[in-house]
Amino acid sequence: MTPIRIVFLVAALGATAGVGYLGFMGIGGASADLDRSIRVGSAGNALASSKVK
Amino acid sequence: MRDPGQVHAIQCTNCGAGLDVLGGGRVTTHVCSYCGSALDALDNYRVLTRFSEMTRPATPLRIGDTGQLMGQGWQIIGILGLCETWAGKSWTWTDHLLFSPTHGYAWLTLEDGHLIVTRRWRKAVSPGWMSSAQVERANTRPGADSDGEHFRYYETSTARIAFAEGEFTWRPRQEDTSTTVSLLGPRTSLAYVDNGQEREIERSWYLPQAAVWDSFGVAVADRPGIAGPHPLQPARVPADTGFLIAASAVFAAVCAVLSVVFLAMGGRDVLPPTPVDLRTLPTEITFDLTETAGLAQLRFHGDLANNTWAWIGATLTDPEDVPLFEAGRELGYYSGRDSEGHWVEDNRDTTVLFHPTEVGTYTLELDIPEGGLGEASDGAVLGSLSVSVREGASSARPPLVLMVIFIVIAIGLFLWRQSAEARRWAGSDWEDDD
Repeated sequence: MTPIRIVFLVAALGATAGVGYLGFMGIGGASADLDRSIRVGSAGNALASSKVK
Repeated sequence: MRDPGQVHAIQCTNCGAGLDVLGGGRVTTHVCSYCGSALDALDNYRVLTRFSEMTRPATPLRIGDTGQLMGQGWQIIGILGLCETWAGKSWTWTDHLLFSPTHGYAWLTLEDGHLIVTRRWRKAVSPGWMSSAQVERANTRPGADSDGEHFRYYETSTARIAFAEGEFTWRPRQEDTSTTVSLLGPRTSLAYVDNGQEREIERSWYLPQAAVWDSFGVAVADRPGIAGPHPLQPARVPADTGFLIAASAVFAAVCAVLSVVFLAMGGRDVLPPTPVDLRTLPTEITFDLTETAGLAQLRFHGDLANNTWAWIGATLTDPEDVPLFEAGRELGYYSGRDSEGHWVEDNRDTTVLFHPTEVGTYTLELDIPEGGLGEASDGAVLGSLSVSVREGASSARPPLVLMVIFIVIAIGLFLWRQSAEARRWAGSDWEDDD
């Protein structure tokens, strides 16, 4: 077994195992068009703001 | 080892020039470097014939030079200048006859700046002989096998001796010709050589150029330039290309299987198909997710009349009442008939995939803000809408992406190897009959 074969097999097996894990966990499969910008933010620094006269 | 009683030098019996005797016991002819007389080494160096008007070939190697080839020490004892002329074009190359007291004789050929070593090949070859006439009659490209290597016909050449100097194991004559049928293998070449008096099979190897030049002590500036690739030259493709192509194909297949498996692992039902009361839109639907591993899937199915569409707006809120995302999907159903027959565009089902952030009760807010008939936006014409939810689904996307990468690697290496092989065979004189 030549070094290039060993390197390729190790890399390919690692990559296949990696995508196996990702695919099983559903990672990378979420819809790409979800709009997450609607997360509710904090109310701001209300205490500090109250000091503004 | 040289015999202590062996002659080390002679004087040319024609011109009196001093000539070193370097070859072994099989030398029969010695061509004087000064006057071109061919002397009979087996008969007191009497003059046999004389080479005249010879042009010295362009080689930086000289008789007496020593160097290393294939792990053995060799000395140059004779130089032949050869020429082939065909269709108004001519090709020249130089053969250097090498001698090793332990390994006998070999040729070091200098052609277009490339160094090749050739030896008489005594191992079994199938077929045992191939003539130029047999090649002419062949319907398919002839081939041969020897030493575990398969050779395919490359070219036929007829060479003429244009220059000779030094010692030889046969009697070269000026203008002598020989016909060579050459076959090319993956690593070496095989040649059936017929000089009119005897037939030989020879095998050639491409040499590590710089190492050989160095071993013969030829300075870089004195080495001839390389004029194009040589068919014996190792192709510039990655080592183990065949293995890499096969391995890439196997891993691509493994990824394809993984994709199918993950596609089938669609998770389990959390909310069975549940009708939405369209009269109360916008409306909210709640469901419980019990795990965060895997994908959760919202599936919408609409009952649409022909040539209608509806736009679904969905907002999902997590158990902490924090909005996770907003998504929009179009449902539609179109059908008709054209010159190619009946057609249908059925998009009555659509999905939204997301990763749950935590376990608990999620709230889906639904609305149908737009819809219409045809391309008009004149209000939703949805008959019914149902929603279902699954969790713990896998994704085929990662293995699919890796599968494409492996396919690209396999195809790329295959095309690279094919291109390199095509360059090796570009000089072949074989033409397939179409």
